[in-house]
Amino acid sequence: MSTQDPQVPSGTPAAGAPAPESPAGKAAEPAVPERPAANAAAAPPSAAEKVPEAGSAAEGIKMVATVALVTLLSGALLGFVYRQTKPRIEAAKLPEKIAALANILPEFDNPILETLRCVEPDGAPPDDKCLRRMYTATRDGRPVGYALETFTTKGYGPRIDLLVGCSADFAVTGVYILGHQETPGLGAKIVEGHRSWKDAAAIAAPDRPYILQFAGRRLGEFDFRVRKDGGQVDAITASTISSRAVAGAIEQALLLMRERTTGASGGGAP
Amino acid sequence: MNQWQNFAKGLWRENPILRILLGFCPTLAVTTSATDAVGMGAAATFVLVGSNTVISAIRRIVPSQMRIPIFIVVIATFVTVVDLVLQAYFPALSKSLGVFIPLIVVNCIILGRAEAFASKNGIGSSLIDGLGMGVGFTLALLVLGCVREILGSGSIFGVPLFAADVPRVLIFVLPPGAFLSLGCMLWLMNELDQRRKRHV
Repeated sequence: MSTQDPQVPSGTPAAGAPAPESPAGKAAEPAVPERPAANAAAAPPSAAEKVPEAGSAAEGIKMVATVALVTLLSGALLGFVYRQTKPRIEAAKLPEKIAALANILPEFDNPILETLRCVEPDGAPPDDKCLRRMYTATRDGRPVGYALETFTTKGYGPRIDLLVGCSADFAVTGVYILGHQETPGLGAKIVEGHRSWKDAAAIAAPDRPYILQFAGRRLGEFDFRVRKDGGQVDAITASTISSRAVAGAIEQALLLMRERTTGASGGGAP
Repeated sequence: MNQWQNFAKGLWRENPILRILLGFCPTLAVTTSATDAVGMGAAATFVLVGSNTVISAIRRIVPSQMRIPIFIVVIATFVTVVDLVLQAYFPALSKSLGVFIPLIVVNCIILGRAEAFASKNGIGSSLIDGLGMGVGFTLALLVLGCVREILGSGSIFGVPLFAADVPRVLIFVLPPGAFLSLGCMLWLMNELDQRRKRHV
């Protein structure tokens, strides 16, 4: 081997030329029996490898089967729990929405859930694909207010869903946060007081929660930007982003409701 | 080790937060109020007990190379169950804890106990271990949540403690407050432990 080793580097550059190839090949010839020997030496491990390979095939099947079994059982359990809890989850949300509508709108006497219509995209069926839906509250047949089910993606979390109510002349009568993922203890404070729209004392209190400052606010009369941005909205301490997002969503909701009911677009928008 | 010791080790000697220092993400994030702390603790305890029990039950049929994915599937299943049940029966708590419930899946305590205990021990012991660890986790969260809520919001379990004009130390409900309070708790824990050792 030690004598062959210097030959190999000398033979390899020569391998390109045909003439010296044959002697190099002959010189390599005696090494040939060595190679099968080496191969033979390598063969038993490869044969030995085949045994665990066959074993690993069985093991692979076992792995796949175990994972399949576990995921199947998990899926079945989740399907069961989902079916058990779904009506309850929906039911838990519906009274919340009805109560919220009653709280954020002026007093009405119509079955408000039936007035639901999609306003964005305008005229679409009010199903899951509809982005923004509107309710119309009437009393003695005359409209007294509107509510928009809307959302904003400008908060700290991915999405804030909210219900904005206004009177027939588009003054805010209430805002209800349907869902959000703002930071607990900080941005999550946007929900504080959102059930207190019929509580005049809470709205008038000097330390009222953030959301109640929008009571009675109108487009054009109130600047819906936070004070930091030059507006009139008092932001929640350390939660400017959430405060800005909700204020902006309320303004957008008022604009949209005005546009969809009176057909007037823009106008007094600041 | 008898089952009482097995349970009690999670409370102090091997407390997942204060001794093993695992699961800091929910610890720092949801301890802004005592209520949230208890809710998170209870949810994590349920997941721990459930996953420990199931993982212990299937430990002999799980190929060792596939154990982590399988453990995660089991844990994720329990977490989703908790999430759905909370949404259905405790909508307020579910809203308040928000995204941190789904994030229990990646809580290191749960995979840690699956790997370190449930995959090597019997069903009964694993159940008790999960319960002890869960209660230890909940207690640590509760103490931290109380401290932060009292100092930062001036209330406990949402009930105001001081008049509205008493200033609140806002930093305690902010993320830095979480680190400060937890740091102090760990210091106190180590101090007590060393004193006890000196006495012995």
